[in-house]
Amino acid sequence: MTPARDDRAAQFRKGALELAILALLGRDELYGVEIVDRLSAYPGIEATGGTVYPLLGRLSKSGAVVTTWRESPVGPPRKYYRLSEGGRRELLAMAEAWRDLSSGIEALLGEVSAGA
Amino acid sequence: MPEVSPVAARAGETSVIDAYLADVGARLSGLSRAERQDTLGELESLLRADAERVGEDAAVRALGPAAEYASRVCEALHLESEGPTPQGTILGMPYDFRGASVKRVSERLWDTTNPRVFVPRLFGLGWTVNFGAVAVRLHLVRPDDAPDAVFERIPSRAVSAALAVPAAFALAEVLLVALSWSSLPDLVPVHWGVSGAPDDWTSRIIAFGLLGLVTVVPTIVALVRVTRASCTQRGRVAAASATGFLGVLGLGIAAMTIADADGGASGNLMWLVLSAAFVTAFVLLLVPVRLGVRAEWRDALVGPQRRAKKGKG
Repeated sequence: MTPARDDRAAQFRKGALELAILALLGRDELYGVEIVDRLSAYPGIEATGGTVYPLLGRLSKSGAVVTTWRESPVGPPRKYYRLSEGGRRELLAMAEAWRDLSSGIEALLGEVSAGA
Repeated sequence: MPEVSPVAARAGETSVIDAYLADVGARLSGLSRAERQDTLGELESLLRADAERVGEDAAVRALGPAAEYASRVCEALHLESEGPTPQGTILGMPYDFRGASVKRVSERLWDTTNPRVFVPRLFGLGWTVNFGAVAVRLHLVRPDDAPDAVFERIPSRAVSAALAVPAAFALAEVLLVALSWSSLPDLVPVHWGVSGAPDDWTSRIIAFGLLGLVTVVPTIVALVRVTRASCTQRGRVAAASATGFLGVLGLGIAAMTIADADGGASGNLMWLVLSAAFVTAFVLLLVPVRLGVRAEWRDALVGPQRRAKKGKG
Protein backbone atom coordinates (compact mmCIF):
# COMPACT_ATOMS: atom_id res chain seq x y z
CA MET A 1 0.00 0.00 0.00
CA THR A 2 1.29 3.46 -0.80
CA PRO A 3 1.64 5.89 2.10
CA ALA A 4 -1.09 8.09 0.64
CA ARG A 5 -3.56 5.22 0.57
CA ASP A 6 -2.56 4.24 4.06
CA ASP A 7 -3.41 7.74 5.18
CA ARG A 8 -6.81 7.63 3.57
CA ALA A 9 -7.63 4.30 5.16
CA ALA A 10 -6.54 5.77 8.50
CA GLN A 11 -8.94 8.68 8.00
CA PHE A 12 -11.83 6.28 7.37
CA ARG A 13 -10.91 4.29 10.41
CA LYS A 14 -10.71 7.23 12.74
CA GLY A 15 -14.37 8.09 12.30
CA ALA A 16 -15.43 4.47 12.39
CA LEU A 17 -13.39 3.68 15.48
CA GLU A 18 -15.39 6.01 17.67
CA LEU A 19 -18.60 4.34 16.60
CA ALA A 20 -17.01 0.93 17.15
CA ILE A 21 -16.05 1.88 20.70
CA LEU A 22 -19.54 3.17 21.43
CA ALA A 23 -20.99 -0.07 20.02
CA LEU A 24 -18.73 -2.21 22.22
CA LEU A 25 -19.57 -0.19 25.31
CA GLY A 26 -23.25 -0.40 24.37
CA ARG A 27 -23.05 -4.13 25.05
CA ASP A 28 -20.69 -4.37 28.01
CA GLU A 29 -18.89 -2.34 30.56
CA LEU A 30 -15.20 -2.65 29.69
CA TYR A 31 -11.83 -1.36 30.82
CA GLY A 32 -9.22 0.12 28.53
CA VAL A 33 -7.29 -2.85 27.34
CA GLU A 34 -10.43 -4.97 27.01
CA ILE A 35 -11.71 -2.49 24.46
CA VAL A 36 -8.46 -2.82 22.50
CA ASP A 37 -8.66 -6.61 22.72
CA ARG A 38 -12.26 -6.79 21.55
CA LEU A 39 -11.55 -4.49 18.64
CA SER A 40 -8.69 -6.72 17.53
CA ALA A 41 -11.27 -9.41 16.78
CA TYR A 42 -12.56 -7.27 13.90
CA PRO A 43 -10.05 -6.95 11.09
CA GLY A 44 -10.08 -3.46 9.64
CA ILE A 45 -10.86 -1.65 12.86
CA GLU A 46 -8.29 -3.20 15.15
CA ALA A 47 -6.35 -0.45 16.90
CA THR A 48 -3.73 0.04 19.56
CA GLY A 49 -4.17 1.76 22.88
CA GLY A 50 -2.33 4.69 21.35
CA THR A 51 -5.35 5.32 19.12
CA VAL A 52 -8.13 4.09 21.38
CA TYR A 53 -7.17 5.88 24.62
CA PRO A 54 -7.27 9.42 23.24
CA LEU A 55 -10.77 8.65 21.90
CA LEU A 56 -11.82 7.34 25.33
CA GLY A 57 -10.62 10.62 26.79
CA ARG A 58 -12.69 12.54 24.30
CA LEU A 59 -15.78 10.40 24.87
CA SER A 60 -15.62 10.79 28.63
CA LYS A 61 -15.06 14.51 28.31
CA SER A 62 -18.13 14.85 26.11
CA GLY A 63 -20.11 12.79 28.60
CA ALA A 64 -20.90 9.97 26.15
CA VAL A 65 -19.20 7.47 28.44
CA VAL A 66 -18.98 7.36 32.21
CA THR A 67 -16.24 5.70 34.17
CA THR A 68 -16.18 3.67 37.37
CA TRP A 69 -13.21 2.42 39.34
CA ARG A 70 -13.39 -1.26 40.21
CA GLU A 71 -11.05 -3.43 42.24
CA SER A 72 -9.20 -5.93 40.14
CA PRO A 73 -8.34 -9.41 41.38
CA VAL A 74 -4.73 -8.65 40.48
CA GLY A 75 -2.95 -5.34 40.53
CA PRO A 76 -4.32 -1.80 40.81
CA PRO A 77 -8.01 -0.92 40.47
CA ARG A 78 -9.23 -0.54 36.91
CA LYS A 79 -11.22 2.20 35.31
CA TYR A 80 -14.29 0.78 33.58
CA TYR A 81 -16.12 2.57 30.81
CA ARG A 82 -19.79 2.35 29.98
CA LEU A 83 -22.25 4.38 27.92
CA SER A 84 -24.20 7.19 29.52
CA GLU A 85 -27.78 7.94 28.48
CA GLY A 86 -26.43 10.59 26.11
CA GLY A 87 -23.87 8.11 24.80
CA ARG A 88 -26.62 5.62 24.04
CA ARG A 89 -28.53 8.24 22.07
CA GLU A 90 -25.35 9.16 20.26
CA LEU A 91 -24.73 5.51 19.44
CA LEU A 92 -28.23 5.16 17.96
CA ALA A 93 -27.86 8.33 15.90
CA MET A 94 -24.38 7.42 14.70
CA ALA A 95 -25.43 3.85 13.88
CA GLU A 96 -28.27 5.13 11.74
CA ALA A 97 -26.01 7.60 9.97
CA TRP A 98 -23.45 4.86 9.45
CA ARG A 99 -25.99 2.50 7.88
CA ASP A 100 -27.21 5.18 5.49
CA LEU A 101 -23.67 6.04 4.57
CA SER A 102 -22.46 2.50 4.13
CA SER A 103 -25.45 1.40 2.05
CA GLY A 104 -24.95 4.44 -0.18
CA ILE A 105 -21.24 3.78 -0.56
CA GLU A 106 -21.88 0.05 -1.03
CA ALA A 107 -24.29 0.79 -3.89
CA LEU A 108 -21.80 3.13 -5.53
CA LEU A 109 -18.95 0.65 -5.17
CA GLY A 110 -21.15 -2.04 -6.71
CA GLU A 111 -21.58 0.16 -9.77
CA VAL A 112 -17.83 0.71 -9.88
CA SER A 113 -16.98 -2.98 -9.97
CA ALA A 114 -19.85 -3.71 -12.41
CA GLY A 115 -18.63 -0.95 -14.72
CA ALA A 116 -15.02 -2.03 -14.59
CA MET B 1 3.20 4.45 44.55
CA PRO B 2 2.31 1.49 46.77
CA GLU B 3 3.89 -1.22 44.65
CA VAL B 4 7.25 -0.57 43.04
CA SER B 5 7.25 -1.91 39.52
CA PRO B 6 10.05 -4.28 38.52
CA VAL B 7 11.35 -1.81 35.97
CA ALA B 8 11.62 1.03 38.47
CA ALA B 9 13.08 -1.23 41.11
CA ARG B 10 15.85 -2.29 38.83
CA ALA B 11 18.05 0.74 39.19
CA GLY B 12 15.94 3.08 41.28
CA GLU B 13 15.23 5.09 38.13
CA THR B 14 11.85 6.65 37.39
CA SER B 15 9.41 4.16 35.96
CA VAL B 16 8.84 3.91 32.22
CA ILE B 17 5.24 4.92 32.74
CA ASP B 18 6.18 8.06 34.67
CA ALA B 19 8.69 9.01 32.02
CA TYR B 20 6.12 8.45 29.27
CA LEU B 21 3.48 10.47 31.15
CA ALA B 22 5.95 13.32 31.63
CA ASP B 23 6.85 13.18 27.97
CA VAL B 24 3.21 13.24 26.83
CA GLY B 25 2.37 15.95 29.36
CA ALA B 26 5.16 18.18 28.05
CA ARG B 27 3.61 18.01 24.59
CA LEU B 28 0.11 18.92 25.71
CA SER B 29 0.88 22.57 26.42
CA GLY B 30 -1.89 23.53 23.99
CA LEU B 31 -4.52 22.13 26.34
CA SER B 32 -5.92 23.83 29.39
CA ARG B 33 -4.53 22.77 32.74
CA ALA B 34 -7.68 20.85 33.62
CA GLU B 35 -7.78 19.06 30.28
CA ARG B 36 -4.13 18.12 30.61
CA GLN B 37 -4.62 16.74 34.11
CA ASP B 38 -7.68 14.76 33.03
CA THR B 39 -5.84 13.33 30.06
CA LEU B 40 -2.77 12.34 32.04
CA GLY B 41 -4.84 10.89 34.88
CA GLU B 42 -6.83 8.82 32.44
CA LEU B 43 -3.71 7.69 30.60
CA GLU B 44 -1.98 6.74 33.82
CA SER B 45 -4.85 4.55 34.98
CA LEU B 46 -5.02 2.85 31.58
CA LEU B 47 -1.27 2.30 31.47
CA ARG B 48 -1.07 0.89 34.99
CA ALA B 49 -3.82 -1.60 34.21
CA ASP B 50 -2.09 -2.61 30.97
CA ALA B 51 1.25 -2.88 32.74
CA GLU B 52 -0.28 -5.39 35.11
CA ARG B 53 -0.81 -7.74 32.19
CA VAL B 54 2.15 -7.18 29.94
CA GLY B 55 4.64 -5.16 31.97
CA GLU B 56 5.41 -1.48 31.87
CA ASP B 57 7.70 -1.56 28.88
CA ALA B 58 5.26 -3.38 26.62
CA ALA B 59 2.33 -1.28 27.85
CA VAL B 60 4.15 1.92 26.99
CA ARG B 61 5.46 0.56 23.71
CA ALA B 62 1.93 -0.37 22.61
CA LEU B 63 0.92 3.27 22.76
CA GLY B 64 3.55 4.44 20.31
CA PRO B 65 5.85 7.46 20.63
CA ALA B 66 4.79 10.09 23.17
CA ALA B 67 4.72 12.80 20.50
CA GLU B 68 2.24 10.85 18.37
CA TYR B 69 0.10 9.99 21.36
CA ALA B 70 -0.01 13.65 22.41
CA SER B 71 -0.95 14.76 18.92
CA ARG B 72 -3.80 12.23 18.82
CA VAL B 73 -5.05 13.53 22.16
CA CYS B 74 -5.01 17.11 20.87
CA GLU B 75 -6.79 16.05 17.72
CA ALA B 76 -9.45 14.13 19.64
CA LEU B 77 -10.10 16.92 22.13
CA HIS B 78 -10.17 19.70 19.61
CA LEU B 79 -12.86 18.03 17.58
CA GLU B 80 -14.84 18.56 20.74
CA SER B 81 -14.59 22.31 21.08
CA GLU B 82 -16.95 24.32 18.92
CA GLY B 83 -15.49 27.67 18.10
CA PRO B 84 -13.18 29.74 20.22
CA THR B 85 -13.51 29.48 23.97
CA PRO B 86 -13.72 32.69 25.95
CA GLN B 87 -11.92 33.09 29.26
CA GLY B 88 -15.25 33.11 31.08
CA THR B 89 -18.69 34.67 31.16
CA ILE B 90 -20.38 37.43 33.14
CA LEU B 91 -24.19 37.38 33.13
CA GLY B 92 -24.08 35.11 30.11
CA MET B 93 -21.80 37.46 28.19
CA PRO B 94 -18.38 36.13 27.26
CA TYR B 95 -15.31 38.07 28.36
CA ASP B 96 -11.61 37.75 27.71
CA PHE B 97 -8.86 39.95 29.10
CA ARG B 98 -5.88 37.81 28.24
CA GLY B 99 -4.70 40.27 25.63
CA ALA B 100 -5.07 40.06 21.88
CA SER B 101 -2.40 39.34 19.31
CA VAL B 102 -2.81 40.19 15.64
CA LYS B 103 -2.89 36.48 14.91
CA ARG B 104 -5.69 35.75 17.35
CA VAL B 105 -7.71 38.79 16.24
CA SER B 106 -7.51 37.67 12.63
CA GLU B 107 -8.60 34.16 13.58
CA ARG B 108 -11.71 35.55 15.23
CA LEU B 109 -12.60 38.05 12.52
CA TRP B 110 -12.34 35.51 9.73
CA ASP B 111 -13.05 31.87 10.53
CA THR B 112 -14.99 30.25 7.71
CA THR B 113 -14.92 26.88 9.43
CA ASN B 114 -16.95 28.20 12.35
CA PRO B 115 -20.55 28.75 11.26
CA ARG B 116 -21.29 31.11 14.15
CA VAL B 117 -21.54 34.76 13.15
CA PHE B 118 -21.20 36.18 16.65
CA VAL B 119 -18.12 34.92 18.44
CA PRO B 120 -16.78 35.90 21.86
CA ARG B 121 -14.84 39.13 21.74
CA LEU B 122 -11.09 38.64 21.91
CA PHE B 123 -10.50 41.46 24.33
CA GLY B 124 -13.18 42.86 26.60
CA LEU B 125 -16.81 41.98 27.05
CA GLY B 126 -19.38 40.77 24.57
CA TRP B 127 -19.26 39.43 21.05
CA THR B 128 -17.58 40.27 17.81
CA VAL B 129 -18.54 39.45 14.25
CA ASN B 130 -16.99 36.46 12.48
CA PHE B 131 -16.96 37.89 8.97
CA GLY B 132 -15.85 34.52 7.65
CA ALA B 133 -19.19 33.02 8.68
CA VAL B 134 -21.02 35.97 7.11
CA ALA B 135 -19.20 35.41 3.80
CA VAL B 136 -20.06 31.70 3.92
CA ARG B 137 -23.74 32.44 4.58
CA LEU B 138 -23.84 34.89 1.70
CA HIS B 139 -22.28 32.17 -0.47
CA LEU B 140 -19.34 34.44 -1.24
CA VAL B 141 -16.83 31.82 -0.14
CA ARG B 142 -17.07 28.15 0.71
CA PRO B 143 -16.18 27.08 4.25
CA ASP B 144 -13.18 25.14 2.98
CA ASP B 145 -12.06 27.93 0.67
CA ALA B 146 -10.11 30.00 3.11
CA PRO B 147 -7.69 28.08 5.23
CA ASP B 148 -4.61 29.90 6.50
CA ALA B 149 -2.72 29.03 3.31
CA VAL B 150 -5.07 31.17 1.22
CA PHE B 151 -4.09 34.29 3.14
CA GLU B 152 -0.47 33.75 2.22
CA ARG B 153 -1.49 33.55 -1.43
CA ILE B 154 -3.04 37.01 -1.46
CA PRO B 155 -1.04 39.19 -3.87
CA SER B 156 1.11 41.72 -2.00
CA ARG B 157 -0.38 44.54 -4.01
CA ALA B 158 -3.87 43.59 -2.83
CA VAL B 159 -2.67 43.61 0.79
CA SER B 160 -1.07 47.03 0.32
CA ALA B 161 -4.26 48.32 -1.31
CA ALA B 162 -6.33 46.98 1.58
CA LEU B 163 -4.02 48.72 4.07
CA ALA B 164 -4.21 51.95 2.08
CA VAL B 165 -7.98 52.14 2.64
CA PRO B 166 -7.88 52.72 6.43
CA ALA B 167 -4.89 55.03 5.97
CA ALA B 168 -6.95 57.09 3.54
CA PHE B 169 -9.93 57.22 5.94
CA ALA B 170 -7.69 58.34 8.81
CA LEU B 171 -6.07 60.99 6.63
CA ALA B 172 -9.47 62.19 5.40
CA GLU B 173 -10.67 62.46 9.00
CA VAL B 174 -7.63 64.52 10.03
CA LEU B 175 -7.88 66.77 6.95
CA LEU B 176 -11.63 67.29 7.38
CA VAL B 177 -11.18 68.40 10.99
CA ALA B 178 -8.10 70.52 10.22
CA LEU B 179 -9.76 72.33 7.30
CA SER B 180 -12.95 73.12 9.17
CA TRP B 181 -11.23 73.91 12.50
CA SER B 182 -11.24 77.72 12.12
CA SER B 183 -14.95 77.80 11.29
CA LEU B 184 -15.97 75.54 14.18
CA PRO B 185 -17.54 76.97 17.33
CA ASP B 186 -15.90 76.25 20.70
CA LEU B 187 -18.60 73.76 21.61
CA VAL B 188 -19.46 70.95 19.21
CA PRO B 189 -22.17 68.26 19.44
CA VAL B 190 -21.04 64.90 20.80
CA HIS B 191 -24.34 63.13 21.34
CA TRP B 192 -27.45 62.85 19.23
CA GLY B 193 -30.92 62.07 20.61
CA VAL B 194 -33.40 59.63 19.18
CA SER B 195 -34.93 62.46 17.14
CA GLY B 196 -31.61 62.99 15.39
CA ALA B 197 -30.94 66.40 16.98
CA PRO B 198 -27.77 66.88 19.04
CA ASP B 199 -28.47 66.93 22.78
CA ASP B 200 -24.99 67.20 24.28
CA TRP B 201 -22.04 69.45 23.45
CA THR B 202 -18.36 69.52 24.46
CA SER B 203 -15.31 71.62 23.73
CA ARG B 204 -14.07 70.95 20.21
CA ILE B 205 -10.57 70.16 21.47
CA ILE B 206 -11.84 67.41 23.75
CA ALA B 207 -14.37 66.09 21.22
CA PHE B 208 -11.97 65.76 18.30
CA GLY B 209 -9.04 64.84 20.56
CA LEU B 210 -10.97 61.86 21.92
CA LEU B 211 -12.24 60.90 18.49
CA GLY B 212 -8.70 60.94 17.10
CA LEU B 213 -7.44 58.98 20.09
CA VAL B 214 -9.87 56.10 19.52
CA THR B 215 -9.89 56.08 15.71
CA VAL B 216 -6.77 57.68 14.17
CA VAL B 217 -4.17 56.66 16.77
CA PRO B 218 -4.99 52.90 16.77
CA THR B 219 -4.96 52.97 12.97
CA ILE B 220 -1.48 54.50 12.88
CA VAL B 221 -0.21 52.03 15.51
CA ALA B 222 -1.68 49.06 13.63
CA LEU B 223 -0.37 50.21 10.24
CA VAL B 224 3.13 50.62 11.66
CA ARG B 225 3.02 47.23 13.35
CA VAL B 226 2.00 45.32 10.23
CA THR B 227 5.02 46.58 8.29
CA ARG B 228 7.17 44.24 10.38
CA ALA B 229 8.50 41.31 8.40
CA SER B 230 7.24 38.87 11.05
CA CYS B 231 3.63 39.89 10.42
CA THR B 232 1.69 37.37 8.32
CA GLN B 233 -0.45 38.37 5.34
CA ARG B 234 -3.41 37.24 7.35
CA GLY B 235 -2.45 39.61 10.15
CA ARG B 236 -2.11 42.48 7.68
CA VAL B 237 -5.50 41.84 6.10
CA ALA B 238 -7.14 41.58 9.51
CA ALA B 239 -5.49 44.85 10.54
CA ALA B 240 -6.77 46.52 7.35
CA SER B 241 -10.28 45.29 8.13
CA ALA B 242 -10.29 46.33 11.79
CA THR B 243 -8.79 49.76 11.13
CA GLY B 244 -11.06 50.22 8.10
CA PHE B 245 -13.95 49.86 10.55
CA LEU B 246 -12.40 52.52 12.80
CA GLY B 247 -11.67 54.77 9.82
CA VAL B 248 -15.26 54.84 8.57
CA LEU B 249 -16.51 55.31 12.12
CA GLY B 250 -14.08 58.19 12.78
CA LEU B 251 -14.72 59.93 9.47
CA GLY B 252 -18.48 59.52 9.83
CA ILE B 253 -18.59 60.89 13.38
CA ALA B 254 -16.28 63.79 12.45
CA ALA B 255 -18.51 64.64 9.49
CA MET B 256 -21.68 64.50 11.61
CA THR B 257 -20.09 66.66 14.29
CA ILE B 258 -18.93 69.30 11.81
CA ALA B 259 -22.23 69.30 9.89
CA ASP B 260 -24.26 69.89 13.06
CA ALA B 261 -21.75 72.24 14.76
CA ASP B 262 -23.67 75.35 13.75
CA GLY B 263 -26.92 74.08 15.25
CA GLY B 264 -28.15 71.95 12.36
CA ALA B 265 -29.61 68.49 12.77
CA SER B 266 -28.52 66.14 10.02
CA GLY B 267 -30.70 63.40 11.48
CA ASN B 268 -29.61 60.36 13.41
CA LEU B 269 -27.14 58.98 10.94
CA MET B 270 -25.20 56.94 13.46
CA TRP B 271 -26.78 53.68 12.27
CA LEU B 272 -25.72 54.53 8.72
CA VAL B 273 -22.13 55.23 9.80
CA LEU B 274 -22.03 51.97 11.77
CA SER B 275 -23.42 49.92 8.90
CA ALA B 276 -20.93 51.51 6.52
CA ALA B 277 -18.14 50.66 8.97
CA PHE B 278 -19.23 47.00 9.14
CA VAL B 279 -19.53 46.75 5.37
CA THR B 280 -16.07 48.30 4.93
CA ALA B 281 -14.51 45.86 7.42
CA PHE B 282 -16.22 42.98 5.62
CA VAL B 283 -15.16 44.05 2.14
CA LEU B 284 -11.57 44.60 3.27
CA LEU B 285 -11.44 40.97 4.38
CA LEU B 286 -13.49 39.46 1.59
CA VAL B 287 -11.79 41.01 -1.44
CA PRO B 288 -8.22 40.00 -0.47
CA VAL B 289 -9.40 36.49 0.47
CA ARG B 290 -11.14 36.10 -2.88
CA LEU B 291 -7.96 37.19 -4.64
CA GLY B 292 -6.00 34.64 -2.60
CA VAL B 293 -8.45 31.89 -3.50
CA ARG B 294 -8.22 32.88 -7.13
CA ALA B 295 -4.41 32.77 -7.03
CA GLU B 296 -4.58 29.30 -5.54
CA TRP B 297 -7.01 28.08 -8.20
CA ARG B 298 -4.87 29.50 -10.94
CA ASP B 299 -1.85 27.63 -9.59
CA ALA B 300 -3.86 24.46 -9.18
CA LEU B 301 -4.98 24.59 -12.80
CA VAL B 302 -1.45 24.81 -14.17
CA GLY B 303 -0.04 22.63 -11.40
CA PRO B 304 1.87 19.40 -11.96
CA GLN B 305 -1.20 17.15 -11.55
CA ARG B 306 -3.07 18.89 -14.31
CA ARG B 307 -0.07 18.74 -16.57
CA ALA B 308 0.36 15.04 -15.87
CA LYS B 309 -3.29 14.43 -16.74
CA LYS B 310 -2.96 16.36 -19.97
CA GLY B 311 0.15 14.37 -20.80
CA LYS B 312 -1.73 11.11 -20.37
CA GLY B 313 -4.82 12.18 -22.34
